[in-house]
Amino acid sequence: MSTHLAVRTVRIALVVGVLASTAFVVRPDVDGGSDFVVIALALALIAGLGSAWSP
Amino acid sequence: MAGTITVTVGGGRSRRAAVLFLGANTLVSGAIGLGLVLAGRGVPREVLLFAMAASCLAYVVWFLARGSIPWLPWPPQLSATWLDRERPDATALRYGVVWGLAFATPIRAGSLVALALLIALANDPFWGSVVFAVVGFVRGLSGALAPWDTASDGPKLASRWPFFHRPTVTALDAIAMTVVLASVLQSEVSF
Repeated sequence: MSTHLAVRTVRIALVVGVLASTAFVVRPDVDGGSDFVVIALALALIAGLGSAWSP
Repeated sequence: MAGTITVTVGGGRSRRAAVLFLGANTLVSGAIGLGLVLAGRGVPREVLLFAMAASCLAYVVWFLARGSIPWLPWPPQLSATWLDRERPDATALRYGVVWGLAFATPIRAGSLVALALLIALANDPFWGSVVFAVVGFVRGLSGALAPWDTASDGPKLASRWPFFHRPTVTALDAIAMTVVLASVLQSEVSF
């Protein structure tokens, strides 16, 4: 049970940490700004990896 | 999934078929990206932003609650009757085209949904093609490398890439969706 709680805490910390850090790192324009390229390529890599292991 | 091409190309020894498989994957996926940009031109920006925020939020909440990323079930598209061991090139090309369609097979990565909305929002055909070509390339790479691997079957090949196994990809997917969600929220707040 404690392991389950720890895993869930890590998940929450991960999401909150990413949300908070994004506020400082990413410029607030996802539609054509310079950060678009970085975000899009990161999504593309992760989507490719994720899809590669689909059943 | 690396086993698909292994079976397809007669034991995974046909390097020519592997290159055809990877090339078809990349090209068709790039065309899908281009199509998504063109299809998204008629959709209002606000609708795309709302759809992106909603899908990212749903994925992130699912990740927090269950520790996984939901995936869209889809009927099998890679029929076993397509296997033609006499013509490995044609078979690999056929499988590569279907894999390259991306959304025609089960979607395990939430990032693919966010990416489709993002490139529709950016409205740049060149970048739409490029980023979806990257998806197709990465997606087909593990299978296309089969002929160069010493392992002879799919499960063994899949285990050669332990770092990128499901939990790792799920965490990366959740992080990416969170970044997109935060970016959309900032974008909306700034207007």
